[in-house]
Amino acid sequence: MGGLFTSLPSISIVGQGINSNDILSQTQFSLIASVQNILFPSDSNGPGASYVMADKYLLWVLTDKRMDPEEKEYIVNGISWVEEKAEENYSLTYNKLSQSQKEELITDIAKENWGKSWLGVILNFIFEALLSDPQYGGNPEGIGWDWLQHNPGFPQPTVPLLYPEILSTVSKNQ
Amino acid sequence: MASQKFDVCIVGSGAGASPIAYELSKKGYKVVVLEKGPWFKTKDFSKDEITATRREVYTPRLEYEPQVIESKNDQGEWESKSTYTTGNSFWNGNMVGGSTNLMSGYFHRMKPNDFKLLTTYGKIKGANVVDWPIDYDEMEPYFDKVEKTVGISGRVVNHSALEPRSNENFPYPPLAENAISSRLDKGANEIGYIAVPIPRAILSLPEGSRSSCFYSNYCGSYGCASDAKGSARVALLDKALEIGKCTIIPNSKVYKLETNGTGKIISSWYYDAEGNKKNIEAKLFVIACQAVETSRLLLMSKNKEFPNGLANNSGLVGKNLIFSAGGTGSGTFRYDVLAKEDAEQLKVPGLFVNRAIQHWYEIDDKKEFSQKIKGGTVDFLFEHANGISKAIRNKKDNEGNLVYGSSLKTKIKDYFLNQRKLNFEVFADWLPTDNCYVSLDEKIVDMWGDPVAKIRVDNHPHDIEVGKYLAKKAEALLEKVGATDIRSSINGSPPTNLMAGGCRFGDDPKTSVLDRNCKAHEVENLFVTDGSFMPTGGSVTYTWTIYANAFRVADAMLEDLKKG
Repeated sequence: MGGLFTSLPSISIVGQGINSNDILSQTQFSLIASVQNILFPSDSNGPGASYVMADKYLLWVLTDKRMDPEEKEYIVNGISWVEEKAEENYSLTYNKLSQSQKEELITDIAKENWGKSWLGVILNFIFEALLSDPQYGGNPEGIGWDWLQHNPGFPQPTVPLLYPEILSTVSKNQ
Repeated sequence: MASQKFDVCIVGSGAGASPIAYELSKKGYKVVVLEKGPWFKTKDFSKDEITATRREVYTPRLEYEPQVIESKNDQGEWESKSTYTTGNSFWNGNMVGGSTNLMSGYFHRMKPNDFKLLTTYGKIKGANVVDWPIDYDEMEPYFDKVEKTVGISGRVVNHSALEPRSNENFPYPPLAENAISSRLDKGANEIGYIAVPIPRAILSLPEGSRSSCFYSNYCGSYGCASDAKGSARVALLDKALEIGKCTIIPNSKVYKLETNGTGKIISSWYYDAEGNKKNIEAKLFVIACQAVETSRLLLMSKNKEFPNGLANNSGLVGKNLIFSAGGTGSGTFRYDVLAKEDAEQLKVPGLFVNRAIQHWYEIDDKKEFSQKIKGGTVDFLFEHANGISKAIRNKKDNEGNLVYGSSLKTKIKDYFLNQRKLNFEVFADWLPTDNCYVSLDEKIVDMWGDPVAKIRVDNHPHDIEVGKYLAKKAEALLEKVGATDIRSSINGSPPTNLMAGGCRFGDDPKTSVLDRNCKAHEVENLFVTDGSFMPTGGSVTYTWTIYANAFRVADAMLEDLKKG
C-alpha cells in the first residue's frame, strides 16, 4: 500500500451517529469493510474504499427507509455467502483469514455468478461513496472528485435537496 | 365534498398537456391540471447525481407502482415480468411538467415523408404502417410556434433532409459548441455529406424570467437550474399560472373517467396525496399521461357504455404502441494521441456537440436494400458527465469479468483523466406491430389497488436492419475524425423515454381511436394529446412533435368551446 493516504480525514457525515450494530453485527461490518478494501484498495494510485468512507456510506444505504427491502437483504445475505465460502475453502471464519487468503477468496468468489453480481453491487456503492456529494457521508472533502479531476456541476445540493430530504421538501410545494 | 368544476380538465402535465393549459387559459377558460407526481420547482433542482440518477426520486417507486413487461424469452415464448422484479423501470419524469424536465432537448422536426410512410415507401409485411390523416404543411405552423414559445436554439443549414420552414432561422442562436463539432463537420464533408447542427430546446439567450444556459455539463436526467431548458413546467405551465385561470393539483392520480351514459365524460376521479377519492367536473377532458399510462387510464375507465374501456368499443386502445428503434454507439478520443491544443479543446466541459447525421433519413442503397426505404437520424453527444455511472461502466472487462483492486483503479483513472468518449444515438422508425401494445395486467395492482399496465414489447426485424445501417454510417464518421475503440449496439430493446402510439389518430373510427384533431371518435368531449396519437413516429425524438400537435389540438378545442 502506498503512502499517499495515511490517515482518515475528520469529517461530518450523514451516517455519523448510526450504530453499525443496529444494522450489521460487528463481525458483519468488519467483513464488509474488508471486502470493500480488497475491491477498491488504497494504493499509490489514489484513495481506496476506507478513505472514501465506503463502509459507513453503506450503513447509511442500509438505513434508507425507501430502499427496497429485498436489495438490503441481498447485501446482507451476501455477507453470509462469503462466510460460507471461507469455511468451505479454509475451514475458518472470514475474519480469521490472513490478508492474502482473503484476497484469494475474493478472487474465487468473483469467478462465480452469484459472487460477480454481489461484488458488483458492493462496488456500485463504493463508487457512490467515491463520487457522490460529500454530504452523503463518502467522498470526504471531495477527495474522490479531486482524484479523478471530476467536476460535479453546479448548483450542488443544499441539505433540503439531498436524498431523501428532497421528497419532503417538494411535498410542501403548491 | 362537492366536486370542483372547470371548463377543461387535463390529466398529465408534460409536453402534450402544457400547450393545452397555456392556450386555453390564455383565452380565458378555467383549466385544471391533475398531475400524479410532485411539484419540483426550479429551486429544487441541483446537480446531485444521487437524486437525479441513483434513486427513485423523479420516477415512481417500483415497489408501489410496478408495470408488467411481456417479452419473448430465449425460447421465443412470451414471458411476463414485473418491473419491480427486474428493476428495469419504464417510468419517466413523474412530476409537474413530466419528463420534459429531465429531457436533453434534442429537437428535430418530423419530415414531410414521415406523415405518409405507407404511400411513400409501401407496405412492410408484419407492420401496421399507415399514413397520418394530416400532412406536414398542417403541422408546420405549430412546429414554428414551439420554436418561439418553448424556445429552440439552433442554426439552419441546407442539407438533403431539411424540412420546409416558414421562418428562415431559429429564434435563438445555436448554443456554444465544443471543438469536436467542427471536427465532425470536416469529417462529414470529406465523406460527402453535411453534419447537421441539432436544434435544442435550450435557450442560448435569456427570455423573460428564464436565464440562458450556463453550460453546467449536466442536462439529460437533471432538472434545469437556469430554466434554459424548455420544460413544459417552465415554458408553458408557469406562464399559464401567471394568467390566473389555470390550477395545477400535484400528487393527484386519476384512476377513472366517468361518463354520463350518452358518450360524454362528466367527471375525472382521482386519489389525492392522502389517498382520498376526489373528482373534478369539466366540459372537456384531455388525457396526456404519456403513451402507456394514457391507454391504461382509458382501459381502466370501463363501464356499461364502454365495457372494453373508454373510447375502446373499437378494441384499438393500447394497440400499436411504438418506441424509437435504433440503439447507441461510441468512439473514444485519447488525449495522448491528439495534438496538445486539440486535447485541451476536447477536454472543455459543458460545451455541446450538437451534430447529427440525417443524410440517410431516406436510404436509397440498392447494395443493401432492394428498394428505397425510410432511414433515420443519428445524434452525436458526449458521454454524460455522471461520475458514478462512468465508474460503474468500468467494473467489467470486455469479456464480462469483474475488474477490481488496483487494476480497477488504474482503469477508472485512465478513463476519467486520459480520454473522452463521444456517443451516438440512432433513431429509426419503430414499426407498429400486433405484438407491441398496452393492456391491463390481471394480477398485479399498484399501491391504490388498481391494475397496472402490461406492456407487450416486440420489434419488427426491419427496425434492426435500418438501425445497423445507420450505425455503420456513424461509425465511419467516428473513424474519419480519429476516434478509436468504436462500437455500437443496435437491438430491439425499447428506449423507455421515447414512447408513443396506443391511441392512433385517423379518419376512420374502425381503424383509429382518435380523429384528426385527436378527439376520441367515440367520446365527444375527450382529447388525447400526448404521443399516443402517433400511428408512426418518424425517425426523430418525439417531444417537438408532441408539443406542436398539442398546440394544434388546442386550436381545435377552442373551436369546440366556442360552439359550447
